[in-house]
Amino acid sequence: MTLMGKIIKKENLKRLFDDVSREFKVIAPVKKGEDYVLSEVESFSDVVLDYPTTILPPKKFLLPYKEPIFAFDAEGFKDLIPDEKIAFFGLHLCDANAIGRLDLVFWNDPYYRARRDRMLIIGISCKPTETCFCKSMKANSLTNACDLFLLAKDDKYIGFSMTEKGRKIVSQLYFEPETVNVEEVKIEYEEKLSLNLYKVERKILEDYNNPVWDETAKKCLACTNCTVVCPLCYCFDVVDETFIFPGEGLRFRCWDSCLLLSFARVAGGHNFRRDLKARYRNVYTHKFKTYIDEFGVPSCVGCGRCIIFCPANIDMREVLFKLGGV
Amino acid sequence: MRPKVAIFDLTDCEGCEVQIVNSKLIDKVLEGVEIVHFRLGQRVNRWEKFDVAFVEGAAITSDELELVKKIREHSKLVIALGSCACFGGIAAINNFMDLDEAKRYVYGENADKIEVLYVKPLPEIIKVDFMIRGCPITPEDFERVVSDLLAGRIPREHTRPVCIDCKSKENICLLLKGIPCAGPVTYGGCGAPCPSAGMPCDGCRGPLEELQMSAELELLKKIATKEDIVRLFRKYAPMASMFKEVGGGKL
Ligand code: SF4
Ligand code: SF4
Ligand code: SF4
Ligand code: SF4
Ligand code: SF4
Repeated sequence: MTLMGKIIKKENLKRLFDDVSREFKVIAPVKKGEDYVLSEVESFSDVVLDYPTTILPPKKFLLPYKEPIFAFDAEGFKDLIPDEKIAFFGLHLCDANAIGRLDLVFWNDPYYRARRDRMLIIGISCKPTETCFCKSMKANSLTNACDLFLLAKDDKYIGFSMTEKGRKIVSQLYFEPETVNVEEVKIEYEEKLSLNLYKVERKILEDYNNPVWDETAKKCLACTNCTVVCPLCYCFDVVDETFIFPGEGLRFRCWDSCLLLSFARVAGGHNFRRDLKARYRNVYTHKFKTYIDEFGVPSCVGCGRCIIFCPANIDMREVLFKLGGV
Repeated sequence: MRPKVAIFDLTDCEGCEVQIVNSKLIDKVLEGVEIVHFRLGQRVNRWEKFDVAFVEGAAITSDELELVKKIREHSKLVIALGSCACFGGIAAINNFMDLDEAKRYVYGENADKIEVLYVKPLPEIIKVDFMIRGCPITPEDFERVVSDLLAGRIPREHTRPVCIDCKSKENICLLLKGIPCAGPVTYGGCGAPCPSAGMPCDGCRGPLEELQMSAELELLKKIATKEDIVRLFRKYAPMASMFKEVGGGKL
């Protein structure tokens, strides 16, 4: 498939930003201390276009930390379907493709879908770091998870529109009239540790009792930092909070983690994954086996966040390497 | 008839009672329950059958031990309010030193006139139906427990560590900066105010239902002295299971 790109000069990015912010609440990478976070921005000058990765992924806006989903009182209940229009400005391909992979799971979820239908995603080129492994996870190509992708080229960007929303944008006058054709848009680089997805998938079940699970679970704090920062971890819990005065309540969906003891506990107290080892392994079987069986792609885009933010220095790539997935 | 509620305090700072008064729903709560005993909050108090008694603080004298037993006899439900009641709190630092020496240090020549016992958390003295943890508790935890009880529901336990709150606020983990933090083993739900302000979690809400203490200690030993680790777990929830051993120097 040939992709047709249109050039936009750096100085015109601000016009693109202003245009988008007229219609959307714009979420872009900004600086927080020494690090970067995705945050609502009002002025283009706050946007950082060259950043390694953000602490939390875009999921914090799609599946918020603690989201009220309906309110109830003695009369009945009221669905709280969100109606905000969000535009991501400057997502790396891994994060945009992670949204594409979340869609596979949440497309029929009314709360997710309401946000997603109104959403605009503008991706941007990145500079791979030593924790990146999006190539191994087949998440380094441009897909229609991005409405528009801005590929850095010398002192300009080439804008590739992947959807109708994107096409409307590149037809604006701040894009140059001439076009550039390419076969595909892909982030190419040498990964520090490359994995073979096919082998990973096979090894996970074949080597169910590999000592690596014991070894790693022994080091793991079950702190959930890795699942919280993962753009594709979506384990959640549902809690009701009732306020007897004045007699109303809210139902929330909030982040949970399959690494925690309570997650696989069912009524009556039985727990399907009593040991941390079983729970730790579950992260991998879900990401690299059952998800692939179901959707054809892993539930990992190789963004590297789980590696960067693990206080115990556990590296998912090394675990998969020891398993023989290279 | 409105449920009858009592709020008692033992040896403590009264901070958790203040948090009750800080609740935004306090007016509503007062409409819905009758407070029959609350030394800090009202002038006229009486003993009768309580539907719920909240007990704040640690029992460190024999009078307080008697009081606790009397409260239990008078109450359908007893709720431990805050980490002093749940886990001994700050006062339980005594338990890790020579009691006479500690008394002499604080009270000087009057030491002999003062009675101080080994500090037992409330659940070691009487049956406790529920705990509201924290030093201090959050008003939200109080509101939730009261609302759940009035709705006839068992208050829900929090099942996630402080880290999940902490990372949701996009803090860079203190452990990665070489600062010892008890977040991974601590019962969350506080919103991680301490790490969000750059200070470690001192485990004030006590241990999570299951915790990876050996992994936590392995990691802490790489970045902190034994003394620092002991101090971290001895601070606010020293009599909690798992914290007690580390606070006592077993690591
Ligand atoms: S994981 Fe891939 S897309 Fe993401 S930042 Fe690294 S190189 Fe870029
Ligand atoms: S598992 Fe790790 S590398 Fe993969 S998407 Fe999640 S955080 Fe990124
Ligand atoms: S971040 Fe590291 S220590 Fe924490 S749960 Fe994940 S793998 Fe375990
Ligand atoms: S700073 Fe403390 S609470 Fe926050 S993630 Fe790290 S260990 Fe957990
Ligand atoms: S972060 Fe830790 S010490 Fe601070 S309030 Fe929460 S549980 Fe207590």
